[in-house]
Amino acid sequence: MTFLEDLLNDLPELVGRMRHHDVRYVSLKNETGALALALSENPGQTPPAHPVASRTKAENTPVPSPEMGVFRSNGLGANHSVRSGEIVGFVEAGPLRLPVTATADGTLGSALIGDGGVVGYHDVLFRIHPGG
Amino acid sequence: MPEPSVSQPRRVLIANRGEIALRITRACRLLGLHSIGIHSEADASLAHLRLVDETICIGPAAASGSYLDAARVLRAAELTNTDIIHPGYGFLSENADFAEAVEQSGRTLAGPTAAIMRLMGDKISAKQQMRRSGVPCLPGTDDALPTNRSEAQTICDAIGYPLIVKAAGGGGGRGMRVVMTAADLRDAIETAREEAGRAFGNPSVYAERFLQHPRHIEIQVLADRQGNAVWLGARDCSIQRRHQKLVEEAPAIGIDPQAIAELGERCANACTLMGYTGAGTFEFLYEDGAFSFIEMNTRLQVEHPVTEMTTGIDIVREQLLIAMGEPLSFTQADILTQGHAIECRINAEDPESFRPAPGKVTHWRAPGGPGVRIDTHLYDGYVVPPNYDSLIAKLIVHGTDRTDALNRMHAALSEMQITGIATTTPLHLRLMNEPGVREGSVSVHYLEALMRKSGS
Repeated sequence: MTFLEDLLNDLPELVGRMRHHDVRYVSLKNETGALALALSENPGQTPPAHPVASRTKAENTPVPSPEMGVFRSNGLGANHSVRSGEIVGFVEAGPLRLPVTATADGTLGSALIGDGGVVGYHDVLFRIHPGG
Repeated sequence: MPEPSVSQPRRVLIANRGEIALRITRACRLLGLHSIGIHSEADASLAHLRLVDETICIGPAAASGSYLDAARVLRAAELTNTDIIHPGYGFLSENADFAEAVEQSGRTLAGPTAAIMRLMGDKISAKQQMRRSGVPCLPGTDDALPTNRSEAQTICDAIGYPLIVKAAGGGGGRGMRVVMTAADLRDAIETAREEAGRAFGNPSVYAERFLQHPRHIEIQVLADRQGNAVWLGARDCSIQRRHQKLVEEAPAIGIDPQAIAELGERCANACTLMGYTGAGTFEFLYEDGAFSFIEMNTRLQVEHPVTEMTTGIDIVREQLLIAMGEPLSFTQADILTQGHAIECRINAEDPESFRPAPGKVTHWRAPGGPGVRIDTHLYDGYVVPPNYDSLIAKLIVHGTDRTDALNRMHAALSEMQITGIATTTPLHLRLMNEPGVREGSVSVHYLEALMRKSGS
């Protein structure tokens, strides 16, 4: 399957995530192709409340930091129900603000680091408990 | 010796791993400095990380994404509010671009400035600097060989054969060709240029006389920011394989101490002239009673402990004090060498094929007794990762004289236990009984000749 075919298959999920997190523009490319996706402010139809994602059930699944940097909470409290792929916080790595995404469906545990705390590469920031 | 005051920089980031990271951690603790250990994802269980004040994982296991990634190391320094970065050896320790970035960030590198690293990192400019300072160099070109073939031929004929063509920006044997006769010159220059361009991005090569049976002798120096420089004796590092040292010792035997003292003074003066700061090593080839400069290592050396054992000076502690702006607290007249010290590099390698042998260390027992020192990050259950250099321990002994040191080393190697992985220990045990080693003064080709003779 080509890069473009892969992307087209994942498009509904990608658009759902963009709507959910209020992301208006995405640009992707590799050696074989490129895609730029811009969403209008007034979509013709309401996107699903949650993105389409494969649901993974796991025991206390760790949520790692994507990079070394400074953790920024997005206000999600403990016991918040999350879906795999949902953004649960951010890590600032230099000029970049990288999303921290849930690695499974479930209930988010308390953040293991405070807002503004320094985190290492792949440090565990949360644990997701099953049964969310 | 001075202890740091409250106003001095106190937060030290240790930009390395393994035994040298532990060595630097110990020096930080000795000085009461706040230490920060960085590590890759594969190195979360390194021994020094239990002793430092803070740790941070900077990247994946691959060195290119962690210890060699200057941007990540600098970001770690920024996130941890670091004052001083100690680079250890290898990785970024001689990277002038990294040194410059550290300077621009307002931090201090425990080492010389970026400008000095560049000066001494280029073989041609280093040699020119040494000639200006009165440090002896091999007969050879002071500049890069011209691209015009006949001009290059004329210059090389004047140097005489055999000679060696070397990459100006290189090291580790790459971009290097030995030329035995004038007829071989043209091919040698062309292949060396091509290799140097590919390996170092700089095709410049130069030529110098090739010594056939030299010893590797080096001088340890320390220089502060106030313009004081001292030399701490000579080391003999001639037991090596493919330019990798395996056994080092201090002092260098069979060489007139007065000749070594004169060389040491010239090295210290060279440091003052160029404005060198920190620890450094001038490396020489020694043959027929003459020293010839090869290169300067602008960093801490793996083999620094043999100098520490014979002088009683803690070189890493001094590096940190210099980085903090302290002047040297001793003069050349205060430095005395005593006895004889030997270091064996214990590598996780097959002792005959030298193939890396990473894996789990199931059992580790350190040797002990008077005059025995072991610098290692090993512990029971430690897993030697395949991603990095295979050095896992440095066994160092200090004896009243060389024979005493050799005997102590043999006893310590026999006592040391490392199970679960192959190491170079059997080779070291054999070397301690070899007639050539017992007699001393072997050339840099000794070990490879010995291995060939025994069919390894």
